[in-house]
Amino acid sequence: MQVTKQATTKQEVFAELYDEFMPKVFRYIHYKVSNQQLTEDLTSTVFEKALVSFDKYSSDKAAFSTWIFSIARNTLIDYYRTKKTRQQVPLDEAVETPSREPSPQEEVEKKAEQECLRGCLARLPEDDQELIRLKFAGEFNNRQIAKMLGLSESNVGVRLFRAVKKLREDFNESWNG
Amino acid sequence: MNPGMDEKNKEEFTESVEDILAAKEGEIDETLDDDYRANIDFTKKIIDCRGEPSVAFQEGLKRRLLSKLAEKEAIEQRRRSETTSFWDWLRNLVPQSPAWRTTAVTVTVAVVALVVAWGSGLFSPGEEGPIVTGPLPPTVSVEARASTQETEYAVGEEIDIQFTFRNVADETFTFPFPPEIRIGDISTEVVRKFDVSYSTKTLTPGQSEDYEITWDQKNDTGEQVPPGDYQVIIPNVPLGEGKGVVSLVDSPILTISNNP
Repeated sequence: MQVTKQATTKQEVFAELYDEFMPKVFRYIHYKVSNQQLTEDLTSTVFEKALVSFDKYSSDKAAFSTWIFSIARNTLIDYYRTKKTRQQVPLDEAVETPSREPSPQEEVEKKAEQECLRGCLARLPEDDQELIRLKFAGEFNNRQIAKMLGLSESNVGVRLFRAVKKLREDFNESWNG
Repeated sequence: MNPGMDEKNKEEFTESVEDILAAKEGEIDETLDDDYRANIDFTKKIIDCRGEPSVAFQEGLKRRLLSKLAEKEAIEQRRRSETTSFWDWLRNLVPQSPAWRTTAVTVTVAVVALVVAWGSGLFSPGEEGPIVTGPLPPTVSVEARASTQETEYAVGEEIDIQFTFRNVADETFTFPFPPEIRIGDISTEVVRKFDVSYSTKTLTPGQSEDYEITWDQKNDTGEQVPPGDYQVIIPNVPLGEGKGVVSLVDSPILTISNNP
């Protein structure tokens, strides 16, 4: 991420980075916890931590994206450690409470489909889940993911393909079966 | 599926996923197999499943973070411009190079001798000696006093240090609280700095605030300090142009010994 030339003060730089990365961090956390309120709380924690350490961050050592996602990963790990479990919170607790207002049939079906998909995602091995979160929420390329997870770039491509296939097959079985 | 096709699938798949994430419509290679196509279609479902932050949350968090950042910068700015501690101030009175030090000490000794001789009436009996002036120490508006239960401690024993900050001026002051607290050896060489917080304290005239720290007798690198005499240091905290400083006016000498 290149901070624009207009961003001169620390606040301006931080604001630009926030605008670019907050939605990605939010999606990354949401894939894991599937609850809007909890995602907001954990996203806030990530950026509060980033703010406290912002003076120590050096773009020479790591890209901001890598740095902020390492904070996000550690925040999730801390959260689940505190909860004494690394498992996904039970799906019936995790998913948002459906609106009480009547919804069109398609929307109801879409929500149910998404809940089913999140359930399947939570059943994948943690490494595969992380790969999918980094790809689809963080929008990292394979080289960046390889660096973050200590894998080779080609290995990331192979594992991503297999993880999506596994998820798809599990979903098809759960949804259609 | 043959291995060559498998490899091609995976490469194309990554590119297609990145195109979809970038909202670009790429053409699907017709030579790729069903697994690939099914995965690509399924990718869209995974993306649809992403949670999105609400605008209110996004804006609210941004406002809160930027306001904290501004506050943090204001405190750091104040710290940077703070005057040095009384000891640093005293040390700065003497120039640093050896030649200058020698000259300064010689001149000081000569002036003191002259003043003593003058005062004793050697030069002009019955007349008063000259008044020697120099830079005045800053006015103390908030007095900090440190105290401990004991003055002598065994090696390794935790030392509780109580502080009282009292506003002795006629106006209300807000200052970083707690201010930076250091432990120095008897030559004021700092051995330990305590973490500072970024909060502030407001004291009205006459009001006081207590604070306590526990020193585990470790230095900044986590090692036990050697036996000897130590003192508490709080660098002066300026309260604004002409408004004086927060200053440590009383603190005990802490003796650490093998046989207290």
